[in-house]
Amino acid sequence: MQWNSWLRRWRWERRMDAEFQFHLRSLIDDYVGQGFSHAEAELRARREFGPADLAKEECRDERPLAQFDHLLRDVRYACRSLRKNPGFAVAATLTLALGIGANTAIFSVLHGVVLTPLPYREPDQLVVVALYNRALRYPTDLSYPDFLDWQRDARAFGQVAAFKPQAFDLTSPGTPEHLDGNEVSSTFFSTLGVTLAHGRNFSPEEDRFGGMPGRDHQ
Amino acid sequence: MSGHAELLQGTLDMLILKVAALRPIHGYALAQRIQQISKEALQIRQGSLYPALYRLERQGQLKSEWKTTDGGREAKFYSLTKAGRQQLNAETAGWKRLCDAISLVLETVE
Repeated sequence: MQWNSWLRRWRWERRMDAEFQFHLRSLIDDYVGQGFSHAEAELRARREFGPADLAKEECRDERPLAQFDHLLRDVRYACRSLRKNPGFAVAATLTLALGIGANTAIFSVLHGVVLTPLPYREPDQLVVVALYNRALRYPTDLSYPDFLDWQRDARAFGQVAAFKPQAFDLTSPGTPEHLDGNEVSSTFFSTLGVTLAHGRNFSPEEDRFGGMPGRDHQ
Repeated sequence: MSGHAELLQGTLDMLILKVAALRPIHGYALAQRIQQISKEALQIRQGSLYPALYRLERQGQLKSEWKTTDGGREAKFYSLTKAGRQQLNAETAGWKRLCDAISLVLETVE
């Protein structure tokens, strides 16, 4: 690859030289044609032609893949500098690693919390309404009668459901297990707009105080 | 008075395209031709000619081919691509508009 690109460049340089040489020779030929001696013709031609280094340098910038070569040169130079100065290389790498790591961590959280919509029907219409005791500066629970009032009177919402975190200990069957869950009102799943993967939904009668657990009608 | 004219920035490309549009031509002949047609008023030096040719070739307006000249030497001949022809038409039209506008101002304002 390296050898190849070097060869390509060498050929390209030779062709450019040949083109400039041709121009100079043609000038000499013209002066000879005008009757000058060969030596005199060459002198005049060279004077008229002038130094070509600047023009050649400009032509090199137009070489196909010249930009790519410049990039390679920069990368090589960067690698050389880093090798010459390992302390700096380590510091730079660590800085990059920490920077990228921190950004990734922040983005992961942001992505989960803010950017990804909740997996419910119309997630942008879902809100959590909670009570907060300003004097104590503490969230407080909502009583069941208050919830019923909210459910009946709230005009701003299509549907209201209640939930309360509740942990359970499952002892049978098998090894006892601690489960984190929620106590929810019967409207909970329809408010979120999810369908149950398994089992049945709660019936409104089960919301009533002292109501009996509903029976599976199937 | 030398009778030489200064070439405006960007007009060299247009002249090169115009001359190369007739038939494939090498750099030296191109410079000679421009000088000749302009009655020696425009002298194109290698220092501006070749960078322009290489740039036009990279931009795909010119393509090149090595051929033997009548004098038996190998030379790089340039000819117009389709894009070069379109560019020439566009630049010629733009140049005419500019000339008309400038002449109008020069001749009107007294």
